[in-house]
Amino acid sequence: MKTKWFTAILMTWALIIAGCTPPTKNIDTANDEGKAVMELDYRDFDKAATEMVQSMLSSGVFKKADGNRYVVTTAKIINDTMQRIDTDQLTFKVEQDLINSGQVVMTAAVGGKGATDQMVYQMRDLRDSEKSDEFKQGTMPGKGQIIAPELSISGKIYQKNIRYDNNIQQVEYYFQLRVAEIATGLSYWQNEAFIGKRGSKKVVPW
Amino acid sequence: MKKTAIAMCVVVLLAGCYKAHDERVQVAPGVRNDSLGNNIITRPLGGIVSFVIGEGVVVNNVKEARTPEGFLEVQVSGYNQSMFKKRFDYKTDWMDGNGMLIDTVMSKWMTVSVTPKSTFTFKVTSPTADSADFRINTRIARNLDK
Repeated sequence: MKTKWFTAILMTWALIIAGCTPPTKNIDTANDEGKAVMELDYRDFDKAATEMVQSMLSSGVFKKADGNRYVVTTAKIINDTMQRIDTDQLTFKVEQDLINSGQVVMTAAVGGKGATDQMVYQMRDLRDSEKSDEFKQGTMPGKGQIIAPELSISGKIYQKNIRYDNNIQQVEYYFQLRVAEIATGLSYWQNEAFIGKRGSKKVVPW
Repeated sequence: MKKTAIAMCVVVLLAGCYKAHDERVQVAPGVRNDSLGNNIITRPLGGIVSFVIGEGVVVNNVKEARTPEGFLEVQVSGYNQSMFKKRFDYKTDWMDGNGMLIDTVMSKWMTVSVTPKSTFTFKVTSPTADSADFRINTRIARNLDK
């Protein structure tokens, strides 16, 4: 009798707990009206990237005098926030639209974190190794083929926490990007996108 | 006679020294001099009326121009008729010459906040020089601090 009661109570608890668990839902990214969060989420990166690309394209920084396209690389983007951010979340979107704009060509041979496509150098290592004989020689990348970038995009994402009042904190995020000419070191464009959030002091933004 | 004089004085006091100025400079109610229709007594009433009749944002002008690089630039200007701050998101979809949607990172919801009885302007730039047309959608902005 006792075992039956115990099982019944256990099952009731299980049902209650199961009933309280919110179901998993996919985010409607086209029309996401979900609550704001103290950390940086995909909406913040979307906003920052949109602002950056709009500013870059309308500035005319990528208009080359001879009518050709600039070769561009992404240098280091420093993450100076308390969060573990892959800065590619910002740069990938920016690069994507810059390539699609038809104004620039991005290089995969060099970048702030090394080559964005390691295969560029792996194939060259293969070319110089004894396995090179296995490949049709005309299809191997030759020496002096890689085109050096002319412009570089660099920047920083940083976070500032401010005590707003006894219960509320303000978290400020600054997205800064800069386009510089590698040959001369001159900076042709720069922009800062700001995202500020206010919320409970109990929420830890990292 | 006495009552009329007092009433006249009140009207003059309420009217203050408000003068019409250059329309390009927007001076918000409460910042500028009070007028007959907008003063410490009528303002709360105006707010109620504005809320009841559902005043909001109107778009007055949409300008298009091409940058030297060929990008289509669109500038939207409007006015917040309401006595309250209005905040909205807008998203721009870009079409190519064939009317096909251009896939771009730049088609994201961006926020505009307009103070009461003030103008607003925002500008969008197309993602490619092939962009021929655009659609701008709006929605009420949520998740913003008061």
